[in-house]
Amino acid sequence: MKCRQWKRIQKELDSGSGISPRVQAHLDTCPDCRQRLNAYKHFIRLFRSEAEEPQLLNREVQVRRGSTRRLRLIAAAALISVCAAVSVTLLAARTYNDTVLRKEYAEDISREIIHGSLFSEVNGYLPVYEGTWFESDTAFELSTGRE
Amino acid sequence: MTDSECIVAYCDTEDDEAFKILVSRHRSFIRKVLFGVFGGWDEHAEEAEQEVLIALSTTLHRFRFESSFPTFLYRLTRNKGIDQLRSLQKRRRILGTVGLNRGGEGHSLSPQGLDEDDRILLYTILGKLREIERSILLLKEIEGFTIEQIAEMMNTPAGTVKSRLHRARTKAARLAEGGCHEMQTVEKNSKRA
Repeated sequence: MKCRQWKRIQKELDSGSGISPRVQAHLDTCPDCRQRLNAYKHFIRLFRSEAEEPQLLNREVQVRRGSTRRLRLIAAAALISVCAAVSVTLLAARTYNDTVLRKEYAEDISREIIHGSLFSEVNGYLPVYEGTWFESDTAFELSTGRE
Repeated sequence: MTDSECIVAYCDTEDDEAFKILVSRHRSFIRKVLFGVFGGWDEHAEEAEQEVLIALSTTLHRFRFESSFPTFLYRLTRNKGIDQLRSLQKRRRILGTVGLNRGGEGHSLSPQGLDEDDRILLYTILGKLREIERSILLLKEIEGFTIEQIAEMMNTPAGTVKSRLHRARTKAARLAEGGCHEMQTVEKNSKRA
C-alpha cells in the first residue's frame, strides 16, 4: 500500500456513500489503487456470495429444545459426583466407627489403669497390688503364699 | 408481528410460533455471523448454530430492549461461535486451513457455489484474516452496518472498530491483489504433487 490515497479510499468505503469524483479521478490515474480496490471488491463479492443463504431461509425452523449432548454430559457429571459423594461418606463413616471403637478401647484401658492399676498389678509382685487386682473378681480368700 | 412483539409473545406465553417467526427472520444473520467467526461453514458451525438457537430460546426473557435485538443476537451468536471454536481446541489449525479443504465439499452457504479458483482464493484470504477481522468485514461490507452500529454490537469504541476495519481491509486487499495468484499456483502445484 504505497499510495497514500488508499486511506482516503478507505474513508469513502467507510461512509458507504460511494466513490466521490475526487477519489474516482485518483483511481483513474493510479493503477495501483485501482487494482487494489478491484481486488478487494472481488474478494467482498466472493465473501458475500459464499455467506448468502437464500434457500436456507425457507427451511423449517428446527430448534432442538433439549441439547442432548449437554444433558448427557451433565447427567454423567452428576452421576460421577453422586458416586464420589457416596464413596467418601462410606469411607468416612467406616473411619469414624474405627475411631470411636479405638477411642472407647483406649478409654477402657485408661480407666482400668487409673482405677484398677491393671498393668502395674499384673507386672507387680507386691501382695497389696495382687490383692487389689483380684479383690473385685474373686469371692474367696486369696493366699499368695508369702505370709 | 415485529421482533419486539415476537419476543414479548414468546416470553409471556411461550408462543412457539412467535419464536419460529423470530428465528426465521434472523437465521440468515446468525449463519452469516457464524460464517465470519468460523471462516467458513462446516459441521462445527452448524452445531454452533444449534447452540445459538437453544441459547436464544432460554435467554430471550433476559432481553430488556436496552439495545437493539440484532446487537443482542450478534453477541450471543459470536460468543457461542467462539465457545465452539475453543471447545474444539484446534482453533489455529482450523482457522489456518479453513476452506482449502472445503473446495469441492459444498461447505458454502451459497446454493450455486463458486468455481474452484474463486473458492481457493476466498478461503485462503479468510484463513489469513483473524476472526475479528472477518467479523468486522462481514458486518460492514456484507450486512451494511455502520461503524457506530458495529461498535455497539461489539461493545468496542468506534475508533477501534475503524482501525480494525482499515487493517482488515488493507490485509484482504493485499492478499486479494498480490498473494492470490501465488497462493493459487502453490495450491495447484501441491494438488498436482
